[in-house]
Amino acid sequence: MLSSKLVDFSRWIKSNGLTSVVPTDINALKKLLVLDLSKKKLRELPDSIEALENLNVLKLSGNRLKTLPKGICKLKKLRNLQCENNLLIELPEDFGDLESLLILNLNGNHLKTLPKSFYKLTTLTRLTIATNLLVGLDDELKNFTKLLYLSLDTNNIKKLPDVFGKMKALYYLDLSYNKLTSLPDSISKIDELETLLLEGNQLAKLPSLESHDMLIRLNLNDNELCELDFDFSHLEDLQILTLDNNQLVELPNSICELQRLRHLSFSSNLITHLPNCIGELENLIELDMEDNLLHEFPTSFSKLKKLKILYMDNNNGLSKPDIKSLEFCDVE
Amino acid sequence: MNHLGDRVICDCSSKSVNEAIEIFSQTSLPYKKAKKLVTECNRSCCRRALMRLFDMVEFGDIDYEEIDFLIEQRDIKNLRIDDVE
Repeated sequence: MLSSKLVDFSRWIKSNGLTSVVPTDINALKKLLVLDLSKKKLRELPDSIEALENLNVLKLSGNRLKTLPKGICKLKKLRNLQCENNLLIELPEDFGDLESLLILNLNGNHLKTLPKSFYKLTTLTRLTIATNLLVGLDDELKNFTKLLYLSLDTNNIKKLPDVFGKMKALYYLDLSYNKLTSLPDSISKIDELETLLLEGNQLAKLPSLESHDMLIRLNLNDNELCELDFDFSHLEDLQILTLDNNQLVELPNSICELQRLRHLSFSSNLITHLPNCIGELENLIELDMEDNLLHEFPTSFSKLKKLKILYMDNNNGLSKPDIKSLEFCDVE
Repeated sequence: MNHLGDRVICDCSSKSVNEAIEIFSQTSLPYKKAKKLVTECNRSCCRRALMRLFDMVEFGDIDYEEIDFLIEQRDIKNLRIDDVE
């Protein structure tokens, strides 16, 4: 049975002119570990792909696939599936049968929903479903406790289920460009989180992020934040903080305690004054405060001895500060 | 690839792929500032194609077909989101 499918798959390889990148010999196909069919303008795959029973890695990115064949779900040894930038409108019903899958990339497709079985893929460590049309996710996502990397950006998600409580090892979480108005409380339980990207949502209020003492990068650009009412001083590893395009009128003084902060950006807000203690950010290299309502620098500003890049245009008559380390300033 | 280069990459400013390439080539600003030279606004609707194009200009190798695909994807996505809403 499998050998006739191998013959069928071999024929498909030949008929699609792929013989230069894929073997057609039946024995070689049977032993194949890695199959790279990226950017081959493929519109469909044969069901006989199931015969590649030893396949570990399958790369299908950059094609024109609208569906995946059911046979793909029988690749029990598949550990890495790359299917970025296709036209997938749905996944096979038994997609969750890919029980060895560790890495899954479905970025840039047209998925509106995921099949129920998808939530059986609890061995996943890296999951990317960015740039699709998802409107929500199932509560069963909570069982993905091995995840290290999760990207759900650029979908149409309005509310997330409270699923992060057991994702202790997750270090990268991208929820940017959705329609979130709030975040689930369990986000504060992600112990190892280093990158949290929330850009382009409709967040007017944040849960306390104080528990994320390993956070290195926090992006809150393009939201509806009017204030930041948690204590930043706990984010002792934070190096990059971006708050552009919100409605903030001031920055909390606790920002000055971020001793490792290197990049701070809050352009296009309504900020009228900087914290007096801003000079305590002794590792700050880049500061973007363009397009606010600032009219003066606090005295401590000159203590920013490592500041190299400063964007300060479109404020209320600010003059370029005299800081020797400055290499670029958008105002002369 | 000229016809692909003529395609509008940003609806806000109506700039084409080729115009965006020209702008990105002539600035040393980082992406978040350089993109505003193309979009002339603060919106992020054409972000995916523009960000990819910026990277391609940085590395000196433009894949027009990939950019075209990303623009196509955005247009389809916008249509489908309109459907949902």
